[in-house]
Amino acid sequence: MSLIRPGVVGVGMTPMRTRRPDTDLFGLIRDASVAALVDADVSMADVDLVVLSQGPDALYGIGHPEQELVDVLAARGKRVVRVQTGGATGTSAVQMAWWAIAAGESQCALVVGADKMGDSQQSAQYVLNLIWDPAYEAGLPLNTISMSALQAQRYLHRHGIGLRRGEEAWARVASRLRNNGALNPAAQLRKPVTPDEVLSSPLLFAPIRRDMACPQTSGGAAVVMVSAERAATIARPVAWIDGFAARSNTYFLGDKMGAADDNDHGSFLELSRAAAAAYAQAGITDPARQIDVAEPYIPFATMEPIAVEALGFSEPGQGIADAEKGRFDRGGEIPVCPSGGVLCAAPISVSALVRFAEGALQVRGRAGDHQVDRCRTAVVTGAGGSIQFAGVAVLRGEDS
Amino acid sequence: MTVVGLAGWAVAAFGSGPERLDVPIGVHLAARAAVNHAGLSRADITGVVLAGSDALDGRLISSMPMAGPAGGYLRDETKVVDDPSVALASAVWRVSSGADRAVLVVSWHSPAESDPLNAVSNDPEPVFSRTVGAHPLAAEALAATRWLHAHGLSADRFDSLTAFLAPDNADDDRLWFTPLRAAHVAPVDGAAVAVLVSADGARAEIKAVDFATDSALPLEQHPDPVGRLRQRILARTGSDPAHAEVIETTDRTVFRLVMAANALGLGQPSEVADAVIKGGLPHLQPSGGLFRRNAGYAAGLERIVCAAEAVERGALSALAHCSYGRAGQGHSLTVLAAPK
Repeated sequence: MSLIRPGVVGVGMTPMRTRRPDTDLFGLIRDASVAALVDADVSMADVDLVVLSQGPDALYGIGHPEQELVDVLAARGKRVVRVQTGGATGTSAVQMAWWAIAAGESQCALVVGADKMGDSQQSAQYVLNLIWDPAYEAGLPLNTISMSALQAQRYLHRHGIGLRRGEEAWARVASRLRNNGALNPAAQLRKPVTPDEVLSSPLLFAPIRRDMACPQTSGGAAVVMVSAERAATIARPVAWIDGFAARSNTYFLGDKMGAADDNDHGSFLELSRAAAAAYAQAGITDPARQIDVAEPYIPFATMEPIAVEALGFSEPGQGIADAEKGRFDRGGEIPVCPSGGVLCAAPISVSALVRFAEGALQVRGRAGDHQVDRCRTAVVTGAGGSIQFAGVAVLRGEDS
Repeated sequence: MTVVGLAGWAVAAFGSGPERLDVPIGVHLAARAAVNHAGLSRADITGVVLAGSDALDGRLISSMPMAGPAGGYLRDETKVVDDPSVALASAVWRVSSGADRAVLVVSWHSPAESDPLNAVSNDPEPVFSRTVGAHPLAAEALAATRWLHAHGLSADRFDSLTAFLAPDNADDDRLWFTPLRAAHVAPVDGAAVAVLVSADGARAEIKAVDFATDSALPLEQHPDPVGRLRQRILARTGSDPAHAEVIETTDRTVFRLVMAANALGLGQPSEVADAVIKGGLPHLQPSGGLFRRNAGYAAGLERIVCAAEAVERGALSALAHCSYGRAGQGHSLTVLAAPK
């Protein structure tokens, strides 16, 4: 690989809220952009590439919003690219800027997006049912909750874990992440919950309960990425992107079943493959020891054990046991989602971009009250589709 | 940086009637044909860039059903929305940076039975633009009106060019938005295009690729966006991309053909139409352009394929120009040359 080392010098996020009736989608995009540009101490005149991280149009009701973006961001005449890979859009958008900078085609890129899911007249799950094949799957009915519930059941079955143990473990995961979110001023859900409260919250689709699930969120996020050459001229801490890879899996859930098949709906094959590729680029050979913090895309607490296994922090089937040992606590071996993660705010278009931004904040030492001590290396992920798309990035601080 | 080229490509029509191909199958056949054309196997492909429009496909996330058929299974796959020529630019970045060895760029236009004009009616901003009827086709008509006015031309001047490009439909005077009539617009027949970008064994080398996006408001757009791109490429490569031996452009309307030819320095707007009709511009659209075969949303990539085919036939250089977005707010230039 002859990659020029791209880095992050600016991060901007709006507060994540259920609704933002005070502004429109483009207002959120503008607010996040301005915050990131100010953080990077650059202006739009410095930006030569804008990547729009924008998920399904139906979630905010405007078709092809990239066409409106140019005037919103004073980007006339610049290169503008919109990326859309569902929930993974944020990582895909950052990856696009990473490629451009690594190829020497961009010196300063702005990656930005927003969502207004809370303002939708239909629930997000009503809209998300439409991602499925209309003939075979949409009518089941599948949505992202039932899809993830099937994954959780499959995981327990695959590893011989009882339902009660699983439910209690997921409740502890949800409680831990919500407690983390209480320290993050940008999080939407900032009220801590106990495991008992999680287990007594309404059942959405067995075994997922309301407090194990992410909320509907309105908010925007942005990052400013630069080449190493440009970073040297900016007096800001840099989060270097030393590894980045994505993998795509099959669309149909039924293709991911079988006792002898590693491509199982109860695992994250695409995530583990992407992580392996990103780790190889970044020289990570022992992720559990070399990574200081993780911001995986976990919209449901049930996904954490599967994600930490795919990322190499736990052996297969040991994610729950390792969580019970406190390995993923804020003060644990590998803090997972110290920001509270997607469980505390889920603006789909930028949920994965926020994971990336949070990883950058951590290795830049700018995460405020949820900063992890001695954090030099972070891994962040995005996920989308029918548990189908995954992206993984490895970020390092300047002292690494 | 690695030199990037096109090693293989394919264009596949979906057909019509009961024999019409399911879109994912058509995309798969095109991708497979491109890989074969490149003399590679799927194992050689490290990345895939999809280019599609969810609205035109009628899907919430059209890359979900398309990623696998396009060759993306367990590969590094992404999707670009703006235009397939922009997707190709990103594939060039991937290969030239060393992040990928071989990348498939796959685009399609789903021949949906719903009216595509309705499918894009949600595009304008909802509070101010949509309510005054700022449909994308109206914006395109407004851009054409502005351009005609700037050059002191009337739409009638293009009747003969319309008859030349669309002899079977030249009398179709259904008015869409003044001055656009149905006959002015290239028909979409639904096609899938796949292009393989590879560092080695290229059939055509990519000398330069650049793109820029302008305002979505037709009256706010740069007066010479193609000229601006030409200058950018000239500054980087030392040669004007418009001097290519062959030029392919996305002539979605008769006006767009003349706009592009004028912007590329091929003649004054009042002269280009006659020159095209009389065969005076043989290096412009030797493929016949979109009035002969229009892949709709995928047309920008198909133009690049046509330019690559010209290089393979012996042209030393070829230029693909694509306009995209609302009222042609985006433009891309891809310069191809015979491999060294």
